[in-house]
Amino acid sequence: MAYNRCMALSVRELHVRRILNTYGDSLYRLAFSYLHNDADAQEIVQDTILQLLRYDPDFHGDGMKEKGWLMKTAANLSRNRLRSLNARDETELDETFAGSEEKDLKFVWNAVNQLPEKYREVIHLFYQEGYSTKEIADILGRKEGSVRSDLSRGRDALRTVLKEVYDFE
Amino acid sequence: MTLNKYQKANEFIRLSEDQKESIVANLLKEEITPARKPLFVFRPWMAGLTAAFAVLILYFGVFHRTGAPMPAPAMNETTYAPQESLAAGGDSASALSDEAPAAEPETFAAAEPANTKIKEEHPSEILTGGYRESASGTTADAASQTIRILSGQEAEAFDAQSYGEKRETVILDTEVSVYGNRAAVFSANGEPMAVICEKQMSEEEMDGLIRDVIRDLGN
Repeated sequence: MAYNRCMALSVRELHVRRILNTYGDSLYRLAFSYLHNDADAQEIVQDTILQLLRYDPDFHGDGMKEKGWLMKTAANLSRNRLRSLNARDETELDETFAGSEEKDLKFVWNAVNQLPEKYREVIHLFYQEGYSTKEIADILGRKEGSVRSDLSRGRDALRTVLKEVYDFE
Repeated sequence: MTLNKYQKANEFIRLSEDQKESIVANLLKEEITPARKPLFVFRPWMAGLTAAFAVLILYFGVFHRTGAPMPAPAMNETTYAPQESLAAGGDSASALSDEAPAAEPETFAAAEPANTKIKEEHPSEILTGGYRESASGTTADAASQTIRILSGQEAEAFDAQSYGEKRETVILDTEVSVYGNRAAVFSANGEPMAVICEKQMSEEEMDGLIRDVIRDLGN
């Protein structure tokens, strides 16, 4: 019995480690793009993996499906958290961008984070995660057409923000 | 360019090894109870299926019934004039009085094969038909009425029965003509009063039919 429990734990540990190593950073970035907070983003990653262990969905060995499911869950959890916390400031950002090169890039992050949530999430998933608009629509539970238009409007808005605030072309 | 920088900026946002270890440790501590899978999940196509069934039920249960023949109005069949008198032709007055019918082939087309054909096919069937109170008066929407009439004289008797004494004198002055598969009842001054046909007819069809009958009568 003790042996079985030990085996079960180690299987779970392996599973968790595999998920974390494969998708951990993507999940963390997605959560961070919503919450701008390290502790909250980390908690979202943890809760997302917890949901995976609870529901144990069958992806038939399809890594894209698995990642899609995790991203969808992380996005939903982040949005729920954001609504309950009511949007925090980028308190952790300075610590995240510690180096000089990183600090140079901070303004891009700031510009993206000034966008409304619906533009921010599609820009993040499209440019950072490399998802197609169809996949983003699936992850966010929206129509592909609205994802496309949000992406286009988000790009325009980002251009405006960068021009106005950072004088960047 | 800008968005490439965004990708680059994102590279600095990642979980540290300590954070990963902390997540693993927390998840291993967690008592995980498998979530119960729902027994029934409503899918979008089920909404379509439900709507389709609802439409079918409404169609067959409600709308379709309005087109079905209504029960025939109560009438006393024994008062009908015998069919033989119609087959021989003659005006309605003579038919109702059971006298020997006088042959008037110019107004009564009973001798035509069409009439006999109807009688053979529908000896005493329930037929739907239309009734018009008068050519110039208000039109009773009788399309939904079912009348048990095949021949002109039966139609006459039906009218007398259904519309009471008030119309009886008028009815007695009527002529009955049979045109193909329909019968028309005319008043003494040639106004079409009733057209009985095999199928249920709309108001427009009724008007067209009466016009045909008037035209044929003129010929």
